[in-house]
Amino acid sequence: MIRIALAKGRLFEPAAACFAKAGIVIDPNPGRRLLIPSNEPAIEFLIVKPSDVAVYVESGAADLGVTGTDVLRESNADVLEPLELGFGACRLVVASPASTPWPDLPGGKTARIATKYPRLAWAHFAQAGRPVEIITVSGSVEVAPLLGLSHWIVDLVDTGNTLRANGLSERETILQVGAVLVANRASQKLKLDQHLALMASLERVVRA
Amino acid sequence: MTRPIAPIPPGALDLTGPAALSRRRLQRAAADVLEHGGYEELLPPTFEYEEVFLRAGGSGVADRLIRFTDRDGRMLALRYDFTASIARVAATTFRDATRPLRLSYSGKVFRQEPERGGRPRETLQAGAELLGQGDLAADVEIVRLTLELARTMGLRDFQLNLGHVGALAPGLAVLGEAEREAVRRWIDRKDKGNLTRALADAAPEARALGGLAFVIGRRSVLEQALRQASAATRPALEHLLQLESALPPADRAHVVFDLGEVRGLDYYTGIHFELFTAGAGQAAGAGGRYDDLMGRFGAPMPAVGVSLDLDTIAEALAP
Repeated sequence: MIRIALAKGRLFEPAAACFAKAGIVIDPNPGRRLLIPSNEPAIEFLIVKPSDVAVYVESGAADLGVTGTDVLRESNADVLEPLELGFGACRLVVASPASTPWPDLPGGKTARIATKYPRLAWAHFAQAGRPVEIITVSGSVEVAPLLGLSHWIVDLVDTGNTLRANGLSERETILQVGAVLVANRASQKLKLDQHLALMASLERVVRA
Repeated sequence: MTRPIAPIPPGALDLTGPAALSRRRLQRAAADVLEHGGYEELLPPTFEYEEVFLRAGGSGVADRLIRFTDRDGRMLALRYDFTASIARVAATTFRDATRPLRLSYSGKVFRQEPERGGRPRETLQAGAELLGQGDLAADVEIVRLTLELARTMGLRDFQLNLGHVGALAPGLAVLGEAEREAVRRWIDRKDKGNLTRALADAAPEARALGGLAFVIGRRSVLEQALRQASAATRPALEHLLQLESALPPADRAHVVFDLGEVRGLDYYTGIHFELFTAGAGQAAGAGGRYDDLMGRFGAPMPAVGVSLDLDTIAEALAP
């Protein structure tokens, strides 16, 4: 049995479509089941929060998963990343209110940054030797500057509409993000043939 | 009113009942196999000067040592692995002993994990070092010992993924430093697409990595790789085939050739392997040849060894 973890949210539909094109169709009526069968008897799916995909795969609770490189790099999970899937493209950026000076704050203040990605944000500024304070939040990051929680934010941007609607300007790109297939290291060795077969069908879909 | 009892720190575990019993049984099984194989058990200290572990394991170890300061200000570390201590003892106490030396160990190692990760910071290991013998027979002995340990401990569905640093090293050596780092990353992630793109304009020796890194399977797969191998990689592949030929069929059934592991490349100098078993999401053991190790302790001699992770094995065996 091969168990595949998919992320709820923006990556779910394209991921399910990608597997469908590879001939693996997720049961469209999952009901309340946690493990969802597919048309392939030896392949089942589980659907979890995006940041949990790598957790399931790293531990071996799932053999494979589909996740964004944003949450994957943030988690620093030790998993294989055999295939870029070509969807879910966006970027992790630093943004600040369009009306305030950048990059120096008036009065030499230390910038406070609200983000769901504290590790990546810290690494970005630490690498450049720029002192910042990181505040970890779990949602509605783009309102943090309006509400006085932070000066800047580090967040995922697709079209940039949400940023603009909140008066924010994109200042720096930290990471180009996309969906990747991840695999458990031990599973890839123990169930090699199943992994290789699945990889081959997914590669065909991605190249098409 | 009594004050609540202090909790244990993150990454520490109390093992009781079946959890303790199963680990003790594994230790006993390992001790029997190792003693029978002529391996003499060593009980090294639980803490050493940190320098011993850094000398043995290199810079990657530095992040993961659990350190504290001695009374004179020198830095101590909890035992990161047994190999470092054994190398130190072999280079001092056993300096003039008859070689090869067969030494074994069983006990806990202590490694720092990311904060709030909740992962255990101590692991129960058992293992062996064969020092002073650099030939194929020594490699065969350690591989057979590993499989015998796995069997005796009760593992059923297990495999030993066997590689050799000489398979990828020649290709990596012709790359520039930045390229090499990227190529190692793609190989480590098994990302064939990015690897192929990164190697598109590289020299033939490096371009061969695109194939070699994905060589995994039984004898026929390795034989096919050998037919296409460059003169620089051929000896490594031939060594692996010879090793497998020297195994009895019951052992051979558990061996999978796997040339795609890059992690141990700075540490191992010859064969390297990992033990995998159904029900475990990580390797249950690892080993290989590290002929540079003893030289770092002033007593250059070949070395090959294995260590098994008894916690992973106990969890995989638990009903």
